[in-house]
Amino acid sequence: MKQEGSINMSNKRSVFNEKTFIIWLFIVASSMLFIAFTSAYWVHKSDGIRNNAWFEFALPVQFWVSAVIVAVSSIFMQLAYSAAKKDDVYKVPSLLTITLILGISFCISQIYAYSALMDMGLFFSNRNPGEISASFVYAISGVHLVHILGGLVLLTVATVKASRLQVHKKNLVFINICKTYWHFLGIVWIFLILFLYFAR
Amino acid sequence: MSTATINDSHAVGHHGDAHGHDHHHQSFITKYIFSTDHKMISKQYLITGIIMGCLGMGMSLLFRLQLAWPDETFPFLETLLGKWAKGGKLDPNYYMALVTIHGTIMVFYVLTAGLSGTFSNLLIPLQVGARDMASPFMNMLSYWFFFLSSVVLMSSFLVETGPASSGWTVYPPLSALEKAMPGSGMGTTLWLVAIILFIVSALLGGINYITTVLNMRTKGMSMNRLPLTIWAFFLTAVLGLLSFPVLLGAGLLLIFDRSFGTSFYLSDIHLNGVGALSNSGGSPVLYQHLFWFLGHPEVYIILMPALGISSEVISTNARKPIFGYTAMVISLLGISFLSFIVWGHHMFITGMNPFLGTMFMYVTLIIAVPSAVKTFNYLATLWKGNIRFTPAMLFAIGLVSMFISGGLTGIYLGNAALDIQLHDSYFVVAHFHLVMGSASIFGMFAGIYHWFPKMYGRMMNKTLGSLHFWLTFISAYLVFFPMHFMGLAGVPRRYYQFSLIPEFNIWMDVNIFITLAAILGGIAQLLFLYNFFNSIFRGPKASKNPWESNTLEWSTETKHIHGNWEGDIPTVYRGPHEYSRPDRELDYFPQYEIGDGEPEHYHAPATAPDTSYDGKKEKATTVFFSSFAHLFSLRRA
Repeated sequence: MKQEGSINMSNKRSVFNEKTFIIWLFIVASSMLFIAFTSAYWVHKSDGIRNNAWFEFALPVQFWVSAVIVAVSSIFMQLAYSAAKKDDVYKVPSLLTITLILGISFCISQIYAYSALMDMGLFFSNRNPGEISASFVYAISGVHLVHILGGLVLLTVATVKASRLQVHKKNLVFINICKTYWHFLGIVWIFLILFLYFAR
Repeated sequence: MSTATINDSHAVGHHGDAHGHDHHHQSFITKYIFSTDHKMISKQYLITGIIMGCLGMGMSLLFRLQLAWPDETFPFLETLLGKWAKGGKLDPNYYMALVTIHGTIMVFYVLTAGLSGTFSNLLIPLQVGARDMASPFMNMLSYWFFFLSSVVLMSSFLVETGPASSGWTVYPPLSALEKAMPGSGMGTTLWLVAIILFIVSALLGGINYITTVLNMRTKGMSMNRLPLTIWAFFLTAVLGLLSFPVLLGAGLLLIFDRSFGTSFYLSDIHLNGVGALSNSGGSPVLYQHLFWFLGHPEVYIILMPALGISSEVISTNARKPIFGYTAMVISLLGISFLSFIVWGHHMFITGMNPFLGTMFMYVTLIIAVPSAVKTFNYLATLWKGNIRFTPAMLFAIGLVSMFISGGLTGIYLGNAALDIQLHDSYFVVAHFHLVMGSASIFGMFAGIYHWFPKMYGRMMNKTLGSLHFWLTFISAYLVFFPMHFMGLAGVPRRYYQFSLIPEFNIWMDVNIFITLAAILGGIAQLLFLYNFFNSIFRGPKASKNPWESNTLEWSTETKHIHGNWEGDIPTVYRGPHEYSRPDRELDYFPQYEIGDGEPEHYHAPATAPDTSYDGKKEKATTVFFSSFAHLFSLRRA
């Protein structure tokens, strides 16, 4: 990777770093995926209500806990970024680790939410009329969870890089990518939980 | 490996000053297989695309045989296909599989990856003046996901129950119920896996193309000096970026329905011998919405690179500036935008609200405006041009012809009322094979003939090229034009044996005619294959700028080096189409040539910025643990 990077240096001329730009494009692509899912949910719901086949249920509280966790983790991510930006390099690994741990807690909380849903008798594969609403909740949050796993990988790499003193004022590209993606994931989950709550 | 050694010495020679630590040591594997050089990746895409194209065309010939002579037997089919052609007659299920995989291969593997993948990779860095893509590594991944996807798709022919057979759109419930038809089992699973891999490949590639175009243009290469090829590739990548994730969503929900028992697309429909399904509440129309939200932009993902290529080829070979550069760009933008709000015209007869249908109809018909702008600009560029009829130019003009004749029928099909009669008929087949299939493949051929000297440093044979063009052009019209009449008479597409249906029996002679024309088209492609592969090794050596073209790629040496230019990247002083300027002796004025009174040559910075942290080196684990102490301010740095 280093090799290509140095070839590119010679004619990079925009304000954006091209790797940061790539993550923004990835965000656009993955937003389209969530837009597709939420649109499908919306269309299905109006069909379901018309045919009297749409099962409403309260979202498990764990989903809301996850939203809080992901919001807090975003704060720590931002702190890590500012520390790196201020060249406070020795704080960066720990702040990233806390973010990482919060990220893992998010996953655990989601799994608890799934088991709460199952306790309510709502499974991914539903055969009762209208319980497709639950399938949607599983599918949408599941796809988000896969995104989170990708974020955890990024965070782990960032922590290792920070521990090797490779994250500092003059080398913010990676942590910037990490930060952008992680904030995006947090925003998506908060959007999704609000969407699922209000569009039940 | 002597070529690799020469390349190495070049590479060190010209990169050496900028980053002496790089040793472009290339083994066979890093040079030809897991290459990160965009030019090699482009060749990989092209060769894979050509192989897939041959397979796709071969399949079409097989099912054309069935359509022309449904009551005959062809013993060689049994030799070739075994149990799928018992007694030399194609099995109906296998016929459906061939139709499905032919469509999938042509739409995704040839005209998306083969066309856009090849030429975006080759031309974006060369024409914008970049040493490589923004992320060469992602670029390599993009190709290998594509390759893997091709292998998975083709492997479905080895499955006992055959490949996916529910049409290239794989609509549920046919595709969602494993028992619906033989191909709905493992075949469809493999199809879905292949498409998901394909989407990953398309996204990795597209993200790279967009970033490279926006961020890595050389000095002087403003957006309004970009060759129209680059505009087309750029907007194509944007379309892909916005639409492929939606197909991914559609595919995931289909996989959930197939394998996890959900009911997104399935409801309690009745099946013969099974009774009502236990699913409830799903809607297959939802799949169609999601699919066509990709499907329509996909049409332009296929077509726009071809339009961009033909713009460059026509301008170069007519020795004239392209007529209305800005109008060309705006029409591309217009097509890109409109392509996202017209998907409903594929679904007029799904019981859609007529008001909604009307809206989709209006926006569909509006696409005629930017399309007409492009067509007239092509014609105006050709008008009074000093035309050089190279094979590339012939194919580019052929594209304009196909674009007009196929585009006109789009106006019929875009009408919600007419669509009731024309939907799922041979009229649709004729329409999209002309405007999307033939036009795009002509654009691809134009690109191959035009940039072959850049890719392989040799020229293709012109006579064979012209012969290839005329045979392909004539056979394409002979194949697809009669289908309009069949479609108007109500002949439905995807039927296996028309001889069983008296009212369609009258078209048997036409079907035979079409098949003979298709075989002619197939033979013509053999000429191309011979010319292509023979020229790679034995073609006459190409000069640096054989077409006397203006764009940046022709400023590089014919010998490929990773990094494209020895020494500095050229600066761009003007737009790409300055042909036949009255104040110039030569009839072309390259973008990279400095004119009178233009600013001095730009020198790229010689060194990469320093990114080390104060030259400090500490053990990673020490830093990691002390970091927590620092966080709680136990220690000060």
